Formats: sequence, structure tokens, C-alpha cells
Amino acid sequence: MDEPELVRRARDGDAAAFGALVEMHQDRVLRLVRGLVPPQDAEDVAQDAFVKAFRKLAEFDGRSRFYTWVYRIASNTAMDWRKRERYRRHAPLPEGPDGEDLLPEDAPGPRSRAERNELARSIDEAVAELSDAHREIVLLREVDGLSYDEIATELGISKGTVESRLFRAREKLREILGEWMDGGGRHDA
Amino acid sequence: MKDDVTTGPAPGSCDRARLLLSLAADGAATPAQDAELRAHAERCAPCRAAALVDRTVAARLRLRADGAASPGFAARVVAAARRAQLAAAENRFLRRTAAAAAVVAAVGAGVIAWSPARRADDPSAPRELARSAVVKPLLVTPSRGGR
Repeated sequence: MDEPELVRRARDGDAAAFGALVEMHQDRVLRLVRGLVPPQDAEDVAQDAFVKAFRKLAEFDGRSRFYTWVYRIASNTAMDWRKRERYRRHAPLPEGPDGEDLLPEDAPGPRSRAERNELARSIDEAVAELSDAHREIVLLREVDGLSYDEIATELGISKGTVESRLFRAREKLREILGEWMDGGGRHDA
Repeated sequence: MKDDVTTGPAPGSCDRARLLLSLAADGAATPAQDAELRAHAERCAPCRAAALVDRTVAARLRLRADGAASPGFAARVVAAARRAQLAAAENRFLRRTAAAAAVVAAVGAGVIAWSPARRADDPSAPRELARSAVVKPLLVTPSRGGR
């Protein structure tokens, strides 16, 4: 059964069809959510996002791809979760179990574990601070590994817009993470 | 944006290098653009640092995203969706029931309010009921010697 048919059936209340849609997209949605909330909360947040999608299925008009639509719901759900947790804790979110190295071994940057973990948290905060459009495109590129053409198709925008939006999103990240850069200025050749 | 890169910021400038950095990070820079970027980065510490930030952000995001859903995730989602569906249906039912009850109560109140008044005018109505239905004027006597 193809995706539009599954969507149609799920919209009519067919839970099995909805389950098939979840299986189809769960890994990508989880990748997105894991980029925004601590790993121990990611599945709960992804589940909330799918349930919201199920309840809002009548609003899905089929003009965008189903995944793009779910992706936005998941992104908003994760951002709402972040805001709620920050308010509740009055503190930055813990991004991983204590002692875990939050950057890959071979990642560039500071060498001490404490500094690397602090940098990792700063990166998470910086990604969360991006506008929805910038965060979405960075995650589609870096997390999903989509090409410019695939992102353009996914979002219904031109390839040129993909390139310029990614460039601006990265500029914003460099600006936010400036304190981690050696120097941080520019020079005229 | 490749057009922007070729016609945009001046060759050798940091602005141009940052555009090329973004393309290079995605494997979308041409060999000539790669060479130009390398040449710029060799003599520009801030742009080397910018490249470092790009690579670190990408590494962090990929590490966090790693891993598939745990077994049974889809089944749990479907069960939660069903619960939500039932709860929504229950809420709708309760709202409709409450609305219907409100209508019944309003109609009942109207009937009660209307009936005694009618009975009061009706000579055939039982005397007690007719008396109770007549609204007596409330007489307020001004108090004397009050402050």
C-alpha cells in the first residue's frame, strides 16, 4: 500500500494504517527529535508528535509530503518540550547521562572532556536558537544527510534557496558559537 | 547560490570563504572552489575556526541522531493514538451531554417560572400554589433614629 493510501486510511481512523506510517518514518523523526531533546526523553517526545499528527490528520491536505508535515509537528513538539523543561527546571537541559562524552572521539575542538561536553551543550542550545526554517534545513542536511536536490523536493523550495538558507543557518551558528572559535573575526585578503 | 559565489563577495575575502565553506561542507564545491578555500584558510585563522565550528556542529548532530527506534515503538505510538482518540471522543460526548443537559435545564427552568404565574391567574389552580406564586412587594420601611 502506498503512502497516500495509508494516509487516507489513517485519516478514516484506521490505526493499523497509521502504525504503518509510523514505522515508515519513525527513525527519521527520532533522529530529528534527538537533535533537540536529551536522548532519554526523545522517544516520549517523538511519540507525542506522532499522536498529535494522528489527531490532526484531517488537516493534512496532501500538498506537502507526509514526512515534511510530520517533521514540522515533531520539530514544534520538541521545541515546546524544551521551553517547558527549561521553565520547569530553571536551568539548561541535561543533554546526556553524566560522564558521557557528548562529542564523537574524532570531533575537532577542545580536548578535555569537560570542555567538550560544554561545547556539545552550547551546540545544542545554538541549534535550538535557530529560526524554525534554519533549524529544519540544518537538520535535514546534517542529520538526515539529504542532498540539496532532496531537501529542495522535501521542502518545495529551489535548490538555490536550499544553498542560501543553509549558508545563513551556518553563519548564525558560527555567530552564536563565536566564543569557541579562535579569533572569530574576519580579515580582508 | 553558486551564482552568488561566483559573482558575489570579492575573491579572497572572508565573506566569499564562508560561502565556499558552506558548499564544501556539503560536498557541493567545485575543485576550483575547494582549492580557493584551502588557499584562503591557510592564511586566515578566523575562517579556519569557522570551518572547525561547522565540522563540530555536524559531528555533534550526527552523534545525537544516531540509533534507531526501540523495539515496539510504533505499537506504543498506535496505542497512545488510540487512547487519545478515545479520550477525544469521550470529551466530545461529555461536552454534548453537558450542552444537552444545559438546554433541558433551561427549558425546565422556563416551564417552572412560567407555570406558577399561570396558575396564579388561574382561578381553578389550588389555593396554596396560587398564593405562593404571587410575588409580594417588598416593603422597606426607613429606619428612624438611625445614624
